Amino acid sequence: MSRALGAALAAVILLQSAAPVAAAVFDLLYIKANVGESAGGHSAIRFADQVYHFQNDAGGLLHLRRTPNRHFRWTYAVLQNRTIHVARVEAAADTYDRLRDAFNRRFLLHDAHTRLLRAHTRDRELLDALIATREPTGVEFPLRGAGLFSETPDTIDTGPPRALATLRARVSARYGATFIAERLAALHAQLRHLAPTTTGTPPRLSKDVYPTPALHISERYQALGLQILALDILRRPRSLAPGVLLDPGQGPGAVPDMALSAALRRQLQHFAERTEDRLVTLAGSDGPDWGFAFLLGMARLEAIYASQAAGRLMVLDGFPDDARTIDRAAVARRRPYLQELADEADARFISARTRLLAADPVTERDFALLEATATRRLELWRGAHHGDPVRMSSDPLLPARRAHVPRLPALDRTKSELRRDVADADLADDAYRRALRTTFGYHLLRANCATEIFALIATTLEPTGTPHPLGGHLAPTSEFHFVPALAHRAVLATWNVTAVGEIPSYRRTRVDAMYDDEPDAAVYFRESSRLTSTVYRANDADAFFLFFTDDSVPMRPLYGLANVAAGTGQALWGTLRAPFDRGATLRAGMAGIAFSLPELVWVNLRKGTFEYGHDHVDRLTPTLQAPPTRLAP
Amino acid sequence: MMRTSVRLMALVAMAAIAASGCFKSSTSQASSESSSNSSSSVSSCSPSEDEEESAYERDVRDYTVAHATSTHDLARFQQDLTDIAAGYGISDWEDDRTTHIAVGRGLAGSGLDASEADVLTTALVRADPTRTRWVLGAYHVTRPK
Repeated sequence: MSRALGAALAAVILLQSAAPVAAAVFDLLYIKANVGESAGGHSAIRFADQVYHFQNDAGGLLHLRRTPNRHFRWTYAVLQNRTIHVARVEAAADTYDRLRDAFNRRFLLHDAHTRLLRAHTRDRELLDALIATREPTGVEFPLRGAGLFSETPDTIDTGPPRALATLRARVSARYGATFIAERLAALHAQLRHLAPTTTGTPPRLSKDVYPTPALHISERYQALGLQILALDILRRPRSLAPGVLLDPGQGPGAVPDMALSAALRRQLQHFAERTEDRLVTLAGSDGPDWGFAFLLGMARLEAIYASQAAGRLMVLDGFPDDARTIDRAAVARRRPYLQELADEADARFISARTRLLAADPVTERDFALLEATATRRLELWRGAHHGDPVRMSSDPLLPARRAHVPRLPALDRTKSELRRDVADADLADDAYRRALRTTFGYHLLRANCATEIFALIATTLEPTGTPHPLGGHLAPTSEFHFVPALAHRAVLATWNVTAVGEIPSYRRTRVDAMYDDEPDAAVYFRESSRLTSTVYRANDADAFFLFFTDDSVPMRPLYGLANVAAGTGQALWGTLRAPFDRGATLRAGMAGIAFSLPELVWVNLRKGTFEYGHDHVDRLTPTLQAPPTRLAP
Repeated sequence: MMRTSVRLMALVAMAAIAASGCFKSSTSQASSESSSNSSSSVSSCSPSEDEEESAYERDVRDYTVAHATSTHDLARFQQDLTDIAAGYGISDWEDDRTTHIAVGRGLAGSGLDASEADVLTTALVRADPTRTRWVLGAYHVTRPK
């Protein structure tokens, strides 16, 4: 017995001593090709719930994007109908952390450059607006958040909104009766003295150094302009701008379950009091960018007071001004899908409300989540139940309607100085864009979605000892690693791949399920043509074709021939129609021919794309298996 | 033979890529991509609140590391924090505990010594005792010993 116990203990000790350092896994993803801009395939890397992938934008820059994993699958496997191959790589925990941090920091760096590019553009817009300024109208330069409140103060008849009157009284009590006027005068003076900071000197950019230039004039103008507006509204209260306050529980498209319970009323009151305290502090802040937080805080106070007066939840509209809208016709086509989304929006709203009810204290995050989920719920509810147009936004729903601020002072600069500033701004913008192209430019062979992943990994892990932390070095630009399919193959052959698998495309998933329930021949012949398919719906984004060839390898050239003929027919018809549709049909036909020709030599690019298919995202998970014996690189 | 087929594949793929190449697709652009956070559009394929919160914390931490190791332009640091926070629906990061804790972790991760972290923290929080405690507390807990 004691010998057995001793042996067991020894085994445990041996196992412990032999146990590897804690390991973690990440996935290298290879997304198969589809037509159009996806014809080369795509590469990505996934760490936990985030996928990082380099994309070539219209300006020739290769940007690192970050997409939540579920959303990535939805975009690529469902909408773009592309199969995703997965290679799961094992690494020591510290290697994993270094790589994940490196990708996240590179993403932040790219994001910073995107914002700076926008700041350059905004500088130019501001300077143009300043040159065009006529005193009575003020500077026609829209500021984010300035459109939350009406332009003109309320008259005596309507009276100032109660929330703002209370806030103004508290600010005056804390800082003195003349505080607001004095602070406004000081902010006006600061704004008048603004001058551009950019020069035409080419910036020295690097893939590893975060850009930290001085604040642009448009950024400082925005910050000061919003502070001035915030204090002006406090001094002369006004109502929320028309359309800013949403009342989901009222009207013909009323959303159910928006009444305020006693508990919700109490929590909203706590948040309102907390917000009011915070706004009193912010009014005296010497920080640089409190204006937007102040404006939004005041608007939220108004929304909460309106909610409490009505007994139902009202929220600020968080959709951005330029939100893309699905029109009524498209909504009608997507009703079942919208209903599904509306149901999920209901669940998210209830979850956000539960979170807020349990919060102590109620923070901005808690309230913002309730606000955003209520807004989205209303939008989807009206689309699904009443066929109303539906707005979409990939940004968080932070209420920030843009408007220009009337009566903001012009800068203390003459028109000729401003014209020189415009010339300098153009030089600075040109220099910056050139530097970006030099540092982050796309190149087919040297800098694309596959090579940049290997390059960043190599930079992060160098200098590497022996053995290599991932099992072997992969040079970014050699051995055809710029081709995503071959890059994937090289990963399988070189790195510590512990499992492989694939996330099948949306169409394949649906068709495979049909094979389980119906005769194979019936499914094959019906689903292989777009004319008879029950899965595929004609999508305007796809050029005309007759047969799917991604799952018909033996028949591919024959089907390809039919597709070429169909494309040719469309092109001929397009030639006749060209005067009436500006050549759109002709271009579609030509594209159809181009993407069908590879099928003649057994190469498939086209898979068809989908407008939606959300209900299948959760089914699109990889089935992983042990990797094959190492392939030859 | 194998080598030839690999090269043939490469050539075909090259031809395909030449016409395109890792482009930001119009489908994904319309449906999902954004410059910063890439959360949901009309779809509910957005990350959960917990995922968002940890992503935000990681971003602020990593951004602090990146910033602290380049320059110490405080105005730029604050402006970028404002932009990052707005990407997560936060308008007032100065009142957000998570932001300050993540800044503290970032200061530790950037290798700043205690006095340097102290100076940057004081400039950032302007002597607010609660916020100072959040930042420096996280710095001291995270800092490599």
